[in-house]
Amino acid sequence: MYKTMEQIEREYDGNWVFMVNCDKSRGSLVGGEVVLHDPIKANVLLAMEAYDHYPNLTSFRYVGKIPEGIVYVL
Amino acid sequence: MKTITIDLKMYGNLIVLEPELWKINSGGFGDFTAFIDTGASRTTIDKEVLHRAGYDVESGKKTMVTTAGGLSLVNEIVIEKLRIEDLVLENLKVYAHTFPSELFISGLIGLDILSQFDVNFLFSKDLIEFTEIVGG
Repeated sequence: MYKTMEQIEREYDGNWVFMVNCDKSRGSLVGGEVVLHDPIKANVLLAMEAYDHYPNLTSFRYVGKIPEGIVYVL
Repeated sequence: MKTITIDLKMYGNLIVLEPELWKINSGGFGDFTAFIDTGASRTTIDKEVLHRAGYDVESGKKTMVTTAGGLSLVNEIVIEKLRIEDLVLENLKVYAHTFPSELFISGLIGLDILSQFDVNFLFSKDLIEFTEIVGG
């Protein structure tokens, strides 16, 4: 079922997600269908193999806020 | 000269892009998240994301790179296309490296890509403008 990113971020907070049939606007994901989700990144990447030949726009990303206390320094 | 305007989004304290990688297996694009890193000379993408997109990461030329964290061994591969909104870059050399899940993103966009455009960060409007450099 297609959902907006607001819905996805609420429902799958703290998960890595793989989405299909995605829409984007101004470079940002607007929504899509979440077909895989797991708090463990490797589990989603492994399961994504089933969608290797999926032709439409897909998305793989972490959904959620960065844990408090973590600051990126590149 | 083509100019695209995208949303300027922050993740933590860094600017995040949502580029799209051409997937060899499917003939379509796969979106992922990456930080803009003007301190990086080269773009690096999570090797598992590249592998899932059909790229033969392990056959890439091995290169030792220096980072703030020390030395790392990466594989250099060529990706067929990378898309940011309507801008498509072809046959890009990128580094493939493991991105720990604690980074929460799958790539770093470096100066090798950024320098192909005039990039304007409009923090007051939460927008980024990319303008193609003609003849550059």
